[in-house]
Amino acid sequence: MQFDFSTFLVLIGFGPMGWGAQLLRGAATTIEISVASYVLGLALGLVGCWAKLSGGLIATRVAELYTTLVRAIPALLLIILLYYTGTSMFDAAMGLVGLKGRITLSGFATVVFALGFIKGAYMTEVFRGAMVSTPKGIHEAGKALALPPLIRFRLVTFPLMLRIALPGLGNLWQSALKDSALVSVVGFEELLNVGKIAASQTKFYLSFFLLVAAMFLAISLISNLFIDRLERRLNRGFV
Amino acid sequence: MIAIEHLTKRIGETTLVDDVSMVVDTGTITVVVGTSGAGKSTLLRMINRLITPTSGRVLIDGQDTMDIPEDRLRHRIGYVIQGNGLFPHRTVAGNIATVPRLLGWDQKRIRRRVEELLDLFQLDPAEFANKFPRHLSGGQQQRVGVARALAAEPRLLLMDEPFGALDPIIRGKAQADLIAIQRRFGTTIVLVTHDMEEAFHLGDRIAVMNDAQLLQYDTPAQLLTRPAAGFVERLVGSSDRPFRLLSLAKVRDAMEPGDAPGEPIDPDVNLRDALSRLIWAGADRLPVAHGNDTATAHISVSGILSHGRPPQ
Repeated sequence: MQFDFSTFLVLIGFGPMGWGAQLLRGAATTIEISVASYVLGLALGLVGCWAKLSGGLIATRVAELYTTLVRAIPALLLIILLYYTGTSMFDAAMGLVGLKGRITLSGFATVVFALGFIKGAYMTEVFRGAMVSTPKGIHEAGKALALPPLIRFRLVTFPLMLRIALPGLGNLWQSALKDSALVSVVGFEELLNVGKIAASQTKFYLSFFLLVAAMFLAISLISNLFIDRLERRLNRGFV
Repeated sequence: MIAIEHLTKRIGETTLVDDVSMVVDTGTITVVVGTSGAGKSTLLRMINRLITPTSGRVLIDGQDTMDIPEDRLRHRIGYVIQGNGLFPHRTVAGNIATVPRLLGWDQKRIRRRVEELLDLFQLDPAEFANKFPRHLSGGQQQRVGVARALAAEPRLLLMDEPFGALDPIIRGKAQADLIAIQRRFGTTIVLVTHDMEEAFHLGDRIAVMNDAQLLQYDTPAQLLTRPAAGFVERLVGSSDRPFRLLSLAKVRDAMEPGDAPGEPIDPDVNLRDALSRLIWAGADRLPVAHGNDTATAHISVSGILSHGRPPQ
């Protein structure tokens, strides 16, 4: 079939025949999933890092099991497992506390949980590496000045650690963005899935897939601007 | 006053500090000196409870430090660590203001205190307040480290090898600054060093530690003239012992009545420097006087030399 540019323009437009609105919605979903799972991953990563470095024996073992398992099993498989078992496990847990059927897990929440759970394992390692690279004298100074643990973390440890972790975290953001496409496997309508549906219905396969690729690239480039800015801010005092 | 009573720290089979007792008088500089691994830093850190003693106790003005909440205790005790420990991502002003902010001082009072401290250490606030530690020289960083420790006006300052990383000239300046600040605020200072020269220069009293034990705790002059047998004797008994002794005494301690010809010497000059002057001038005696006052006393080579050996 000959590529008909004017037809393609109509198909990606916002008219009754166009897929524009759905594609933008898909992109918005992709960003939502990525951001939410990334934030969950950051939280899990900090907890995991704490468990590995200063938790008790049990916490350390649990964290090790977590990072080993998650990093060894393909993300796609984990998503399928967590998506299909996660909901029923959550229902069962709610049943135990007598809330059966009252709170249910939405598809979005399940997907975010699955992706965030995976990211958290990688974040744990990134944070741990950054933590052990922060200068030891700084922590002692914080203690000697009697900064309470939480303030010490917020004022001193975290900014210094974040600076070292940022290249790794930037990497993980890029991969979170792309990994969000994995949830198309459970039928979630994020950007790639919308593109796939559009492609198969209109038969403009290559064009739609290239368009989706361009949209991913655009999101990634825009987020790079933010990461660069953060990096400059955290590097204050070091250059 | 700090009373250290039978302080001991053991980790497993190793004894880091072994039954140390000593009293540090308010408003004095006490220097703890010894080879590395002697337990000096451990002793220091047990004072502000960065390390918990295995047994024994520390009393500050009669109060057991274990009865004071950890944060309250440490806000009352400034602590300067080896290599200054400044927060690299915070400005000079931010570093100094750490504890005052924590204590909830208002902005104006914090700013005033930061400026006062920077002035005190001859760092122009307009130029240095917003710089980051990395942009300062080693000597400037060290001064900011001390300023940060002094920010909340502690009565007691602990210093762990504070001048170890400085070159000799800047170190001399830093030591002079420390003495000036100590005089001005009357802060009680406990300082740890492995440098015997520094100990004699700064200490009102010197504690010599080796192998976790306190071997001798005395004034510099006593340490030189009556060193404990063994380690302390070897430590202080070098060939320049008479000169160290001379640098501890002042011209006013050795002057004799009667005028003498020549350029007068100030009575507050130490005897070592006075002897240098006499040797250089090729004189046997020189007049002693403040500035342009008329001399009524003189100092002689033999008078100085008699201070360079233990009293008979």
